Amino acid sequence: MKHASTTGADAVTHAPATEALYDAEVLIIGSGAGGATTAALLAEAGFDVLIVEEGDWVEQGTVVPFSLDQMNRQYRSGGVTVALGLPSIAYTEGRCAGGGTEVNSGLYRRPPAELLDRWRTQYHIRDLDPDEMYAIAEEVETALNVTPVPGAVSPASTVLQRGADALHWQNSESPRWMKYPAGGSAASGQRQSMTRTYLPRAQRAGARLLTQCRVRRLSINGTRASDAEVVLADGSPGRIRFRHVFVCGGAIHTPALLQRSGLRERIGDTLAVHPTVKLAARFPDPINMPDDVPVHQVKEFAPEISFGGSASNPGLVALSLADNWGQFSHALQDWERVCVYYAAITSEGKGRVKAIPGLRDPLVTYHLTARDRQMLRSGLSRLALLMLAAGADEVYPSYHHAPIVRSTADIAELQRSFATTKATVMTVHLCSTVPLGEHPRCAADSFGQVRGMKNVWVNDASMLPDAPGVNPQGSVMAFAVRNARRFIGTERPRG
Amino acid sequence: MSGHSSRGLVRPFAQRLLSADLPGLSHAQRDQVAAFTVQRVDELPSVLRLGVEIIAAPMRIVVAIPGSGRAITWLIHHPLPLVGEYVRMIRSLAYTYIWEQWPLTLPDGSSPR
Ligand SMILES: Cc1cc2nc3c(=O)[nH]c(=O)nc-3n(C[C@H](O)[C@H](O)[C@H](O)COP(=O)(O)OP(=O)(O)OC[C@H]3O[C@@H](n4cnc5c(N)ncnc54)[C@H](O)[C@@H]3O)c2cc1C
Repeated sequence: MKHASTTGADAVTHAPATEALYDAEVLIIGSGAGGATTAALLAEAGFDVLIVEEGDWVEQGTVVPFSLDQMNRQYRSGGVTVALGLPSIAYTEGRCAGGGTEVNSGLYRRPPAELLDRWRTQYHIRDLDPDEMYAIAEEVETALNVTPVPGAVSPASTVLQRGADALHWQNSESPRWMKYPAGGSAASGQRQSMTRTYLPRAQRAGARLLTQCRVRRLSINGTRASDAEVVLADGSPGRIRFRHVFVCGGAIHTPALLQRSGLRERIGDTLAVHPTVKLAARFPDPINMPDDVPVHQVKEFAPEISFGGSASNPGLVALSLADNWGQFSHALQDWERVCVYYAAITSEGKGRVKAIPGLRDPLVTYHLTARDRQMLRSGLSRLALLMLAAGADEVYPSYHHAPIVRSTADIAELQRSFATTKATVMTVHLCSTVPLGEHPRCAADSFGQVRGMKNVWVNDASMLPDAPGVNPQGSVMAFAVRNARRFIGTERPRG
Repeated sequence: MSGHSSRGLVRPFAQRLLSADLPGLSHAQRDQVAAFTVQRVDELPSVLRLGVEIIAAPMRIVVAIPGSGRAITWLIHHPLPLVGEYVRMIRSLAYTYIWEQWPLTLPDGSSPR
């Protein structure tokens, strides 16, 4: 039996090709928001934990945020992944130690009380106590140093605040998991992702982390899984025997892995996302900050529609103008005065994740409802209005043959000509493919234990019952802590 | 990831699209950008890549037909279902690459003097 490294990032090793058999009391697949949190709690409770992660450990500061280099090293498939449909929805996922937490915008929201209440009643989630969830949320906030910017926010963020104030729309700064120097500006923060927080904590408590190791499938006998077939960094096969397994590969790869392992019932049928449409807006003065995102969000129409800002380096500005290049491309010469903003909706549509025999990656589809399409149209129109109210001189909506919006009169043309099939629809919030709860449509029980299995749990974004309508990482982590504690309360470490 | 590359299918179309959209881009740059788009297509999730290749194959044939320039220009400016998504993907990859590599590139693809 072989062990991977047990200490910090420097000591993370890849399994040598000849040493292909591992043993662990608890195997955790995926080291993102769900997996890292679960690993830390279980290791601290005395369990022998092995975390396997398909991506590499990439030290913060060694890649430029939102660059193509980052896409190469920290995103799945270089950041080009699509849920097929009419329209198809482009999505991105992290694939590295720390998962999505290493690449995301760091905007933190607690799961709202109404949401927890709705989930508890609609999905029959046992013992979902809001007080307990908020105590956990506080704990997570401390561990991640969730805080507003102590100094100045970026001009691109102020745009959202200014526009919303002018329209009397509710808006606020979203705190982030960042450490800032005293009085530091938004740009001076250091992201408190999983490689800075829960993964080192897990490792200090004895957890082992094996990077560049992909789990292909679990071997299942009746109601128990016994081991995982893996592919190691050098392409050689390996096997990990375990007593319990937590699948935390994210909302696409958790259901895909369970399906490849023969578990299909209700798994992967209920993908939920927050679809977004975008526009670029040009202002009289420079506002662009190529390697950060605005921290303000406009919540006047939340949870149905929310507005915020996106990464806007010149490449991403070009991307947002590409749908009507002939009319919009001049704006690129002023890219320092241009920033990209989004309208996100809470969708009523549903998607599917299906593992296809013989293919490595699953088929992902998503269907927007008529109401979703209407919300996207309405969201984009209101976002254009918000930009004008903030002082934009030109607004460039991201869809084919979109008009340049210079005044409120042009918004009528935007509303008339918009169609989701012409638009670039994207998402970075994916969840709910193995929803938890006692309701018959839930694939896992109230604490993430996969139905019909005695030792298989999910503890990542796939367990959220449906799209939360707020940035999801806070909800993922709060549920992950709750479920890990339940596990610790019912299972004893081998000792 | 399978060992084969989509180069033969994707590269000629990417080059044609770039010369139509951004005539000022130099040959060397166009080659570099087309190579990047091929590399990204090769990394696509397997199902998606299969879909792209199914769409790219007939597009490749159209590109090879002498005098098909007009048809190509029409295709790349009209958002047809599926074909339109392929065009959008190639264009998105290319533009992101160009303006990240050479942020001062002018809208027609040429470099500032
Ligand atoms: C660009 C971007 C911006 C975002 N911005 C925000 C934000 O501002 N606020 C917010 O709250 N949320 C944000 N999110 C969403 C947030 O990051 C996710 O909700 C969260 O990371 C989900 O956690 P997870 O544990 O489910 O999956 P992930 O964090 O995605 O981790 C899953 C990990 O599992 C690994 N894995 C998958 N399959 C296997 C396998 N078979 N074998 C081994 N390893 C495997 C993956 O490589 C990955 O590292 C953003 C996401 C992205 C991509």
